[in-house]
Amino acid sequence: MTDVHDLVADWFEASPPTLFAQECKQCGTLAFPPTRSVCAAPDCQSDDLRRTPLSRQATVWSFTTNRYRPPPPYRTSDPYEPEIVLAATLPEGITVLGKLNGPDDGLSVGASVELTAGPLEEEGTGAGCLIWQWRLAKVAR
Amino acid sequence: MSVHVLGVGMHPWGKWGRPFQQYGLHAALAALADAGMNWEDIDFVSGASTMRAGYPGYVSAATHVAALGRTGVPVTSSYAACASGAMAIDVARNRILAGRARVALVVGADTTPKGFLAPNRGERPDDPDWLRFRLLGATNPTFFGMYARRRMDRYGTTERDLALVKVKNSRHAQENRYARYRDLFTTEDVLRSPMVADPLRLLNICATSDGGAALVLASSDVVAKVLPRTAPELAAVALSTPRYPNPSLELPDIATDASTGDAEAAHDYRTTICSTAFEEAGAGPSDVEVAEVYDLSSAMELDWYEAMGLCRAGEAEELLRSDATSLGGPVPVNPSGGLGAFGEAVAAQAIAQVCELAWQLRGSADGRQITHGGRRPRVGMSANVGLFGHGSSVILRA
Repeated sequence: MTDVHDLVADWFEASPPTLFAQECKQCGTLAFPPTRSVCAAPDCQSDDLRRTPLSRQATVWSFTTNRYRPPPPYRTSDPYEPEIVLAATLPEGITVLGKLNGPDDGLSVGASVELTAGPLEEEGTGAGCLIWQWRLAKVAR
Repeated sequence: MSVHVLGVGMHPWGKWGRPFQQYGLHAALAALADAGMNWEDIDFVSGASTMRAGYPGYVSAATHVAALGRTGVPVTSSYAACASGAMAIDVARNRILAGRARVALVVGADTTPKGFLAPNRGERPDDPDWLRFRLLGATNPTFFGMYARRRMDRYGTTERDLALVKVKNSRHAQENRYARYRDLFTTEDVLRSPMVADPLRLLNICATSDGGAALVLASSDVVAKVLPRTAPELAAVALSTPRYPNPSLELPDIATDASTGDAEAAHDYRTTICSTAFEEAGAGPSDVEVAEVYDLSSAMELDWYEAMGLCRAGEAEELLRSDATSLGGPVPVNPSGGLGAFGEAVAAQAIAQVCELAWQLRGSADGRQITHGGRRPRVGMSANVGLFGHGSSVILRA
């Protein structure tokens, strides 16, 4: 069975922060997370897939704040601090869920965000591992 | 040949802490009594399964049969998350339509722990439902909150609109002895309740409950022999899954398909669920006189108005504010009180929706009975979506 840290390392590289999808070599269809055996397009189904990086910029589709501690297997520190979770749409048309990293000033539907890296587990709750997160893009005001 | 709902039964929703088969037994016996049938008359049992009760929950139909007393009856157990009940109904219906059963029992019952619904224990990185919790702490309300925020941004839904859904459904539930929450809530109560997943507050999100529901389905020739009993026709059961590429973020996925389409085609999948049911029933939105929809959150009830075609996209708030979907309006939605008043008893809920529609169409819905110009509603429709893309909709016709 796959270890969750290996799995994240396969989907995401922290430097520079990059998500990796599967790209179908037959029809170009992209899939994230890259866990498919054949192309996601039902009229293709090719098993000729390659690992390919996705864009780092995205647009906020929606977001919320988890006010209460999520249940296991989520690992949190004590006491629990509310966290913002957002879904952002990449230029490739894939909407990806991730936690917000950094300040939320200006967070709104349609805001520009960029990929960054943050800890998968809080300190003391597991092995150190980095996972993708979103942070608000610096835009001229 | 057609298939009819001859009997319905429920166990009250609550947090009773008993084995799920006890709720199933209670509901099944009530449905049999309601149908005027004996347990030995049942020639097929279709169970809606639960993953919260170990092996007996997976083999739900066999478990319910054992509780009722073994008669050798053939069984099938179905799991489709929140749509399990609808899937179990469809299996029984098809069995009858194929001439391989005449009177079938459909049973769903569930028991839930306190707090968030959570994945099964163990280290399971290959399971998207486990991963969303492990990697992101993304609970069901996390998704509901994002859907609600998206709706607010797109259509200008206000917190007051969301509260109004809860106020309406709590008024309906006051007259339902099977509902878990029967207190009347005001807009202020909702707006003062704790924020759970912005913009959704505690009273905008359904709880998790214990409960059970059952139906006795029969072929038209059986029904003809027991007339004048009123037995609404099961006019349609739609079981729809999303079509690629689906731009909507579906529970429990952490990402969507790659799609350059309008992400609000999110509505397209839900619309397809409803239009599939309409097509089978030979009916349309204007025929619907009562609806039971899956209000996991108050915002989701509004989404269903549009998916069912009760109004156009973006007009659900107006329909709600006009009281059209309240008891006394042209198309009452969730006269039972909905999930907001019941809470999720996953395996039972899609069956419970059909129980309510049957009661309404038969004119036996007690103090919450719908009347249209002095007559009972003629067409009722349910809708829900289960985890991993299990859409379902059932249409009953008087």
